[in-house]
Amino acid sequence: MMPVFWLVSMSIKDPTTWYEPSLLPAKPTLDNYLWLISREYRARFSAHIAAGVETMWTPFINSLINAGLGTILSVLAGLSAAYAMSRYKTGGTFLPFFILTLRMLPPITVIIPITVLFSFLGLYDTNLGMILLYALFGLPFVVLLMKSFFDEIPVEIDEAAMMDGYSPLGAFYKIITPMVKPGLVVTLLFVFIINWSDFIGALLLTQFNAYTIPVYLAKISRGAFGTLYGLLSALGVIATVPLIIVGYLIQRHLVRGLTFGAIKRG
Amino acid sequence: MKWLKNPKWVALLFIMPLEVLLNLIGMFPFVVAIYLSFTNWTPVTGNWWEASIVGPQNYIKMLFDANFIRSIFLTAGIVGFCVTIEFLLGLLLAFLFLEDLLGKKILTSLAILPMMFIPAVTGYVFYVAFQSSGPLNVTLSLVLGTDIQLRWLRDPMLSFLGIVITDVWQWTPFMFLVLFSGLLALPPDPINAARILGGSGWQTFRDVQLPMLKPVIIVALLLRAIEAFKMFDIVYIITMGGPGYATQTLSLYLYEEGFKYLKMAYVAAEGLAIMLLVAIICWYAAKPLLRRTAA
Amino acid sequence: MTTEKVSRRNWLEIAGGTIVGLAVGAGAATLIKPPAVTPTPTPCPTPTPCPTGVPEGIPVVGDTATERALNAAKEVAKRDNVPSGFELTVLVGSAMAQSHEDSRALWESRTGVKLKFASVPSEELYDKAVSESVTKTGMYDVLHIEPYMVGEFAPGKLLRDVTDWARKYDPRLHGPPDGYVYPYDWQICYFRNRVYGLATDADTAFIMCRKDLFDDPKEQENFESQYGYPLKYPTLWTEYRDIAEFFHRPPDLYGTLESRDYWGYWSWFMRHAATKWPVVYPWDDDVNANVNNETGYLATEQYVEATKFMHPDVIKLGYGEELDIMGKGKAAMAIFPASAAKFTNNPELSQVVGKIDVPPWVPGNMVDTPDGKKLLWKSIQGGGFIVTVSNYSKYPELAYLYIQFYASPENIVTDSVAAGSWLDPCRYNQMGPDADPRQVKASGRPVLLASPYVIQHAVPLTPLVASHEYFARLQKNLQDCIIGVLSVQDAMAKTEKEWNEITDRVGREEQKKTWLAYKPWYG
Repeated sequence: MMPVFWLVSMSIKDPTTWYEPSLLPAKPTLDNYLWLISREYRARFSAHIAAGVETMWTPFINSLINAGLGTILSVLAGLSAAYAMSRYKTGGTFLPFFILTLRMLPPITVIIPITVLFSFLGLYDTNLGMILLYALFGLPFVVLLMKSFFDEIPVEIDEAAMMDGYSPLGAFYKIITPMVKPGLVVTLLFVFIINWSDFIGALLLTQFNAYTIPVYLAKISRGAFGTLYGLLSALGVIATVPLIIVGYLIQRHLVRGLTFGAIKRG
Repeated sequence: MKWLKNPKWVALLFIMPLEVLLNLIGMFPFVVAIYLSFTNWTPVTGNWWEASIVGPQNYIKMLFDANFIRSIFLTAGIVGFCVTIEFLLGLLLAFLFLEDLLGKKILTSLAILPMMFIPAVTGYVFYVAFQSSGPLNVTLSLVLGTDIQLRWLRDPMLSFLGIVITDVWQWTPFMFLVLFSGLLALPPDPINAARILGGSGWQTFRDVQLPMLKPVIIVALLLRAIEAFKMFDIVYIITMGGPGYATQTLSLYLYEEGFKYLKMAYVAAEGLAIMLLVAIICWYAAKPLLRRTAA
Repeated sequence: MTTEKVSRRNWLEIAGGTIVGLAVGAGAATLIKPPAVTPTPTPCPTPTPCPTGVPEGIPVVGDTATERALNAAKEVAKRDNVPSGFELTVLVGSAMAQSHEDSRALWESRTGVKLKFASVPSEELYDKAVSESVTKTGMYDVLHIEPYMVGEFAPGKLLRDVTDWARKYDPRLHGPPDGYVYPYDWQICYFRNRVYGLATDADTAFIMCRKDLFDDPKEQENFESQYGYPLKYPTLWTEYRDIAEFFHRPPDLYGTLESRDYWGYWSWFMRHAATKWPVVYPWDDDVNANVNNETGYLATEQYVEATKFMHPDVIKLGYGEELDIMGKGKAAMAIFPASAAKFTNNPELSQVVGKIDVPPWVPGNMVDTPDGKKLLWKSIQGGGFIVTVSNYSKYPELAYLYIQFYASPENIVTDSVAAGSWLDPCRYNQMGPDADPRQVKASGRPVLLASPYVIQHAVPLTPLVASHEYFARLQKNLQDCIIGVLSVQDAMAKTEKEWNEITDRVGREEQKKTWLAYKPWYG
């Protein structure tokens, strides 16, 4: 927990004390946050970084859109695929593994061809492009995690549900999926976090319109005279807020999948 | 399994469009990377589609590249340490959180907080922490009573340890959450049965829940290992691969070779080789996963 | 129910999907073609005022570089039918974006051409430029990059050769009173004897000393009794070492400060170039590494020795941290570029205002010459920034006129004093006793007075192709030497081997051409 404390304390440090690696700020100030929020409160930092730099709202909203919608898209695409793989062996043993290999490829290898592809398709610097990219990045996570959660549930429960009159689709929606709800929300959170933190994709594939918080963070980190710790810590704190909110919201679902009358066996 | 035939088509039908779309976006760069790996292309020497194929030179060269081999082993070492520690800690936490603790919601939020930091931010925080007069040394001095002045950033061993510490701090919550939600999704009957039969909490955990949890465990380990292999921001900010080559992880090495030295074709070959290597390892490690465990 | 065997059907599915994907990929690849590269213009005809109102060439009107650029830009915009919505886009590191903003009003009002600044995180500037050199989208007209990148991007055809326009419009490249300080003009603006851009910044290393410590009589007494010679600003690397040792009183005072992180190679080259008369080159004429010999060993030994008297984390400390240490008065000496003076001179930021002196030399060595022993000292010109024109720009001449305007003697002071800017003086009117007052206010007199002398003795850290890799390898081996993993000889031997490998990989003939073009300016 200490690092969290350090981060918060760095974020309220006065610029003259930024480089002092002391635990408590001697002169606490909210100037770092104010700098990010609006161009009005930037006088103190003018020696370090120009007042004309953008505020944090554009990257913040872009991050929410790109990462959020990308995550939702990959969950939609991956959930049913995971179920199909778990129950019907779609793609056998190879397909799930193949999807995993997408994540094994170091991003450096493919990022330049992706840049070329995006500029060809007109997706460069668009929110749509980033959403598709993040959906692609998140897909392996969703498929594999959800497949393993589905695998935990014995197929007899599916059979029992269908004997009770549910169609296979209904069994999927109404019975099985709720049972893996904890896994589902956790997967959602992870994919969101991964997409939220993506840097190299956002750096090379956006410029003015769709750039996200990690790129903005890199921009405000370097001032005329070195790293601007106060600003970047403040942004770091702000950047965790949406994630914390999502994390808090999913806690409701982190309950045992028992509570709605699962079919008793034997 | 014949009765599954019809629903199968339905299932395929509604997953296909999205999957196809996304895989098309993924295919093109992949194909280009394969093509490039057989050329000698750099951005300086001209257009990439005009690069001439020179055969498997890159693949042969990388086998003898000391930096490449070293970074693989180093990264494997870091990943090994990190994932093991994260798994054990995460399992412990998951076990503890199964009980009804006071203030569970708050505690859970706190427990997963480190994961929420953008890795670059984590990097900066720990970079400050690891300085000789930084918070970490100060805290250690307070706790141990003597003046500790560890030079985290200068000593190769300590730099390595520092990276492990940072990664464990940031990603243990991942393990915790996956294992925890996996435990929650387990069907309750076997567990209740075991409890009734007289097992203690720990015994039940070890003998009943853990085996059923196997698919989730394996997936969690796989995913975390694969992500850890690509660890970049932390190393870049805290040590920049230093001192010397002490923490030159694979992704840092590839970044430098590809973006700073512009050896794009070589990096493409190395990336693909890594992918192949990791894939083979994971295939053998994950075979049990792909077998469905009967209840 | 084992799933060990993948059924044939599944293989067909996979194969089919892969083939489709490959086909689409291949098809897309053939369709993607960038815009054709605009051919280099033929040399401009002699500029004369147009007699009939139908201009053959744009007339050159104006007494200053700024005026010439602004007037011509207006005409060029008309001639090329630049649409009113067009925005001249500049790729710039975020720290420099404000310096362009400050010039925007003047440019837009005089020429009517709108500007757009694409700011990227300063450390990722190179990556973005690489990406542009591959995708060739033409979305950037002007690239505000660093000189070491010119070695890559000029042969890589990202940058445009603007020699002809420079000859026509005269951006005041050479000579006082307001040209680029010699040898910056040749070192930065030229690549293989053609102009590829205009310098906006140059990082020459200076030594900065705490006047109050050096003038203190007690310190002087102690020093002389310990070392046997009077305390003064060091002229030799041996003196530098002694003084650093003397003042090294951690944790309140460190002897000296230099970079030992990625930029650490700067101060190594300072030592290396000055080990033998008249100068030591990093390569011989065939671009074989020249480091695995006594000059290399000596430089490395001095380099490692000095590290003992610096902050313990120096191996990873960045510029900002070191400035802060200096600004809090915790270092007796430091080797910094000129921008450090902007920091130490600012009462809001530093506690040592007025206490920093910058001698017009850097430490060197006593070396044997045909005329007996002489003092030889060299600084380095390491970083800097240069505004260049992209080869894929739609209106390259307009882009050139913007860079002439931006980097002109009148405007460059605005750029240097802009908030958050990293740009240091590089023109004659920015330094010396007659420096522009705005510059003096920002940087303080000492460094500006020292500049003309130190710059003359600065060796350029050459923009060969793959310069990044040469320097990175050296720097890593030096770090290994500092922490004791490699001995001095091993470090130099390893560097030599790696450098030669790089040269062979890139093409020795090409490197030779570039190196021999630069050699005259290497001190």
